Amino acid sequence: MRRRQFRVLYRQFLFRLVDVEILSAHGDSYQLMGRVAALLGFLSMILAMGAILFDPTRLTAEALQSARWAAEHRLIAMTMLIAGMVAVLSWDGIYPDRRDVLVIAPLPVHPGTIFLAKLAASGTVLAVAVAGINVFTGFSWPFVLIAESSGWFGWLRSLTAYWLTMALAAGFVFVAVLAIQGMLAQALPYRYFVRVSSFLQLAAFAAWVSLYLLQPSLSTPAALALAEGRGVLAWLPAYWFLGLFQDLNGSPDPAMAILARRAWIAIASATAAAALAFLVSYYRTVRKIVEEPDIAPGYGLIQWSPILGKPLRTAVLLFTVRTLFRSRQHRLLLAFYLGFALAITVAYLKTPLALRQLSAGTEVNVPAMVSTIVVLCAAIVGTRVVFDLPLMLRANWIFRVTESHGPDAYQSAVRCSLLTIAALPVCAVSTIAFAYVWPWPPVIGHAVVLLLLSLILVELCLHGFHKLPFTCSYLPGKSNIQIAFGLSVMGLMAVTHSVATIERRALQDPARFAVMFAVLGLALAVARWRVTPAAQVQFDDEPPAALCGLNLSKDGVPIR
Amino acid sequence: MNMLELRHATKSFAGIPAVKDVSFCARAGEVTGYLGPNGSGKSTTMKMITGLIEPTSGGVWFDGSPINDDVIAYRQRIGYVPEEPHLYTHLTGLEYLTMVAQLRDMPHAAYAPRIAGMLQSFSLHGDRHTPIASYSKGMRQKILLSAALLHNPDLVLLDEPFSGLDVSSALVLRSLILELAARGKVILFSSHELETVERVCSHVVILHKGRIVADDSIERLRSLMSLQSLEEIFSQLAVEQDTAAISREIADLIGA
Repeated sequence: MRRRQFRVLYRQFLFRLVDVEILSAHGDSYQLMGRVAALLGFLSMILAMGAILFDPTRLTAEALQSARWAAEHRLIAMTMLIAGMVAVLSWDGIYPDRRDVLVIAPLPVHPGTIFLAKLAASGTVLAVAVAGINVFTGFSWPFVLIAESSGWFGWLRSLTAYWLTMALAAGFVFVAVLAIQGMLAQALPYRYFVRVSSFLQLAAFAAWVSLYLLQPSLSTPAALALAEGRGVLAWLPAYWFLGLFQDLNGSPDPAMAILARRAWIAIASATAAAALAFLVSYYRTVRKIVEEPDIAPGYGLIQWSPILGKPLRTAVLLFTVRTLFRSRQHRLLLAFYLGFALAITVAYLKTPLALRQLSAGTEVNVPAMVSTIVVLCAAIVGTRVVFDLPLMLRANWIFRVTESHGPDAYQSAVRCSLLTIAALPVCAVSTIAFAYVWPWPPVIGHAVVLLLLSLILVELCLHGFHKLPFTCSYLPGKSNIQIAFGLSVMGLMAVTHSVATIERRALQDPARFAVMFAVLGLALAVARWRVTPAAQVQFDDEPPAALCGLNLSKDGVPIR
Repeated sequence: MNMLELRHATKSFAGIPAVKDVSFCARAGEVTGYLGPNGSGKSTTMKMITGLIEPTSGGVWFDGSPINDDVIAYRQRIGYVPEEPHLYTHLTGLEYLTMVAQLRDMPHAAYAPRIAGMLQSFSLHGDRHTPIASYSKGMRQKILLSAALLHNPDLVLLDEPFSGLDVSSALVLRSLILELAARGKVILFSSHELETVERVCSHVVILHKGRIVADDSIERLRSLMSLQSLEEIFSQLAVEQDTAAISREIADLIGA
């Protein structure tokens, strides 16, 4: 009976990670998960390109070793980042929540079965994600990471070491999150844990992204000496697993053996802590959940209800702000976009060209401008994407029955929300920051350019968007996410760098600035003209029509 | 005088009719009860009247005009309490009511005292800054009622409004419905609580399998059918099953 209960619960928990209530009547959770797996596969394919293009014959022995270590480290760090993301996304799915307790606990199901089913479901998602990100790299890089004379045995050993290292690295991240969350759940009353946990989830996300971006690279074999117990590298988990891979692969380097030992200790400690937290939860959490309310009453001292012009605009803006601040999944998705912007900005700022320009100090420089434009783009596009994801879809009837304006008034309210939430904070923060290092004229000039770019981007984002934020059902798979992702990564930096270079010249010459202002103004007018309000506000996402009409007309009369 | 009128309204989903050729009138100054067993098409009719779904054929008229002529103007005149209390639970009670008032384009000076008064009257003032997620079913129902009445609507649509309310709130609501009718509002009231319907409604429409089987005053139905109570009338018109036999069957089924 317990095995059968486990199977039923496992299936339920596995698909709980996708909130099926938000999906359109035409969408399904399998499709959404398939898209995510495809995106990971796409990333793996890009990373595997490096293995194909890797040419060891052109490198000296020392440079070759450094290149191999750097590649291994990059792949391990990427796998740990993905595992961290999975842990963050399945944050609520690991320990039982109020819904589980109230729905399942009255049934004759042993708490151990619930816990095991939850663990198995989260583990399955983790395994799929790790397999997805390594599907191409896992069968290309292991053959590059060994000496050419190793033969079949060497290849097989490298392949095994690679997959074992990736699995252990991902498992370590996952159980570490489990341990932290479990210990916190025991330390705090449940209702406070619910609140703290939400911020801890966001902090964990920031930690994974920062750790991935900011950890130093192992540029020379000599730098490895730093890892022997004292340096920064010795404290970075990705390097422990680099040591583990090398150790499993038969490396004679003693520094690698030290790092490998650290990896084993880390895995053992995290697993023991997680198991302990899990066991204690097994006995205590269910009772704590039943005894305490899910949400601490009241939002306390923060009562913010400003009147911002028209009532409709105020209603939409405040609803949007409150949803974004109070909904964990929406906050997290926006954090993903901002984290992504941070990643490519840091990568760009690390380039020699950017470093040289940044060292100029108080001079107006392109890298600083690029970073603000990239963050601005991510904030606007990310917020617009988050708008698409509904919250409590069945409560949207209130927007339908209170419709007291035409669709253009709703679109104007959404425009105002997007500008206020996404664009204005970035413009304001960058203006204040630049005011400390640059003279006033370029600070004001850059603020004007950022504002115009914001307005253009907001109009582009509103093209074809006829919804209110968080109120329309979601249909996955309408856009080709792999192609869009690839193009945006490649295109964003190139376009932004060009725009910033032009802007820098314009900020030094009033005539050029006037031309730039006029061009951006014209672009804004065109973008605004392209945005047309729909016949009505959309509350259910529809698949694209199977047949496309050509909308032909003669003398202004449609031809049918 | 305001009047809600359904004329041969039919609604089909994937070709299967949920409501068939429904016609009736609800007049200002009276409370019209809309009754029917589960799945008879009551909520579908309510959604057609609110303009949330369009009839497949026929239509809904208010004040002599089809509602689709200017659905936005029509929606400004209706207050709706849905059967299911779906609310944005991350908002507080005060935030939700303020949002509804703003969506209805009410000025701050008009909605602020009304919301404060409603919260006081429904004993929700102390919990106004608490997220709706923490509210009980009855508290949520009070929020729905407040949101429906905030803008002083001409047409009030109540779908199971007593659901989850405690005794004193239910008594307040019952008096409120009669008071609103006395002040000239059109009130359409759908409920399974026949005793309450009998006390509140002057006129009932009974729906069975998507069709109207009775449309008259309760007094007239009683005399026409020679029955004592609305429950007996309803049982005769809309209940096909032998309830005692079914209960015996269920008890046998579980081996009790």
